Amino acid sequence: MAFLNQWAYIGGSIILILIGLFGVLTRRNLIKIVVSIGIMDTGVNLLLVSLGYVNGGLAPILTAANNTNNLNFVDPLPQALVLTAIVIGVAILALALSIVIKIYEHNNTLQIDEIRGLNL
Amino acid sequence: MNPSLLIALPLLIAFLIPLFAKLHKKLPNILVLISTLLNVVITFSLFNAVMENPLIIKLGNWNIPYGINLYIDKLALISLIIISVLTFLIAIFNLRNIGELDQAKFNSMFLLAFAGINGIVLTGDIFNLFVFIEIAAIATYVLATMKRKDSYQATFKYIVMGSIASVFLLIAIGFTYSSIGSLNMAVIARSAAQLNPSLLRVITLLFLVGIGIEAELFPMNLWIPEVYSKSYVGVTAFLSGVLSVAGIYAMLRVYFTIFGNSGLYIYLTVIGAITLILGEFIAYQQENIKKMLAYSSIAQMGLVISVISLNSIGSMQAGLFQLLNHSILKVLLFISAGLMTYAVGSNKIKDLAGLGKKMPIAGLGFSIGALGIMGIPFLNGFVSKMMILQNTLGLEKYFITGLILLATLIEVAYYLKVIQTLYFKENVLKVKQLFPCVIPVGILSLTAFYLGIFPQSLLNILNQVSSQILDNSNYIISILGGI
Repeated sequence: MAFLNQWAYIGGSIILILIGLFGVLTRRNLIKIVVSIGIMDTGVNLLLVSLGYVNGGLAPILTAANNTNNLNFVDPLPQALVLTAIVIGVAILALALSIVIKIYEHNNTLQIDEIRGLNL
Repeated sequence: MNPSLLIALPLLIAFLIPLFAKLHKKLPNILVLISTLLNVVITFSLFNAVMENPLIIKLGNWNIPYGINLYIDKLALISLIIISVLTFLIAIFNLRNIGELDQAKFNSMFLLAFAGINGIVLTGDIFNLFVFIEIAAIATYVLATMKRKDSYQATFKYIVMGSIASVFLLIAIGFTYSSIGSLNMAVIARSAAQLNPSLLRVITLLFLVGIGIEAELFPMNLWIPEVYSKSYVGVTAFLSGVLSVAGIYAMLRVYFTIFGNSGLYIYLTVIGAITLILGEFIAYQQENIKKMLAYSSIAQMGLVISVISLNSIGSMQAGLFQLLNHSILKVLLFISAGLMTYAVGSNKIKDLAGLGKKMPIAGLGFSIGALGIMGIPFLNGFVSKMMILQNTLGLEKYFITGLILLATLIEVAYYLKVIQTLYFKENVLKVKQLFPCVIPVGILSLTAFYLGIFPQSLLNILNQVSSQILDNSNYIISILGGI
């Protein structure tokens, strides 16, 4: 069980990234490709947070009850990184979806086999 | 002047441009011109100071392992000079709107990408590097769609590749942080030797994929030909001549400064050689001039990376000089090819027949660029190709020498084909003269000649740069002090 406690988060998020990558490489529908990119982003964000996780750790905030630096805090820095990464991920998803809309307007289909110049 | 202005000014003006565009239609172009010119001036004003000592700027006055710092050494300065001067020339080219673009949107995104690229070069923190790479990437996604029509398909490909690359980059940064406990490049470089060797391999490979999209390297460069041939020519020149410099710079920082002395340069050599040969062979078959230039640009990046990875001062110097020459010549080639394709309204090489006489400056610019890439004496390409051959022979890497000679042979074949079409065929079309667009063509051609005939002063600087890169203790000591 100790092994699971330590590795479940990292293993799980890597599986999520691989699911997303599989989706990007195999789906033939533009929206599904964008969704797969979203899954990949979520996976990598979870991975970053879990790298800073300490088993049984507290939120890194000093309060009246937790008022010393010596307590078992989780690492706050990866969480700050993930906030930035989430914003960047959302921006890319929004841009990708708006480009999908434009492609749909020009071609009237979302299947990449039917769109010229899009054989990934 | 404070070097953080190099990032802050373009960023500020990029967001002001949509407002100023309401006042007058021409204002966005002028603002871009002023902003890029200011960057050129600031960069050159730093020249003397950086030649003596590297500059370190603590953002917000936080002490170094806690805050983010900017770092300018000779390598960063040379890259900044290439980037800002070429961007300024491309901004002059954009004065005449030959792509039927929305000027306000285009110029604002152009400056945003420029700010991101300056950030990539200046930053001393790997997560900050990721953020700037994404800023540059998102801005270039938008730039690539500017020509509408079928550029959307090409851009979708670019976005998919770009987001896969950014995921890999983020994983690499996460692993580095969790094993070393810092994001500062100098702190990581100091403790990199204690990393588990197999983890180090994984991290460097992840970085190779993550940054490879900017540096146009093999697995992540499948978007390039589509985007380069479908998007507006100013954007193409910008991506090929400016973004790729930032990509190679980031690659150098990761492989030589952060994980220096790790002996993993063989990855770069292999990837570079594959990129070089594939690029040249596919370029040979192209009938679309922009696609041909795109594949040629991929091949040149492969050449630069494989030469740099040979890990000696001479080869590093040769590789950097080749990178600089490639940027100058590729911007020249794309701009002059863009003028000619705009005049005839087609991208096919055979439709350009006889244009060399009708558009003397663009034709001459293209020929000088092509001859320079091939490596004809008196042009800058000759000097760097010669240095590359000398160094690969000196290091007894005969396989790479052979590859480079083969690549040059193929280059000669496909570039001469275009030059022959330009000059030895008749043309009956009437063409428009495009005044401000030919200024950068002239300046770049003269620079190519100048660097080909008097390369010595630049080579001296590049020599110092190379010895600085290969020994990362300079970097660590100048940032962290002699601990």
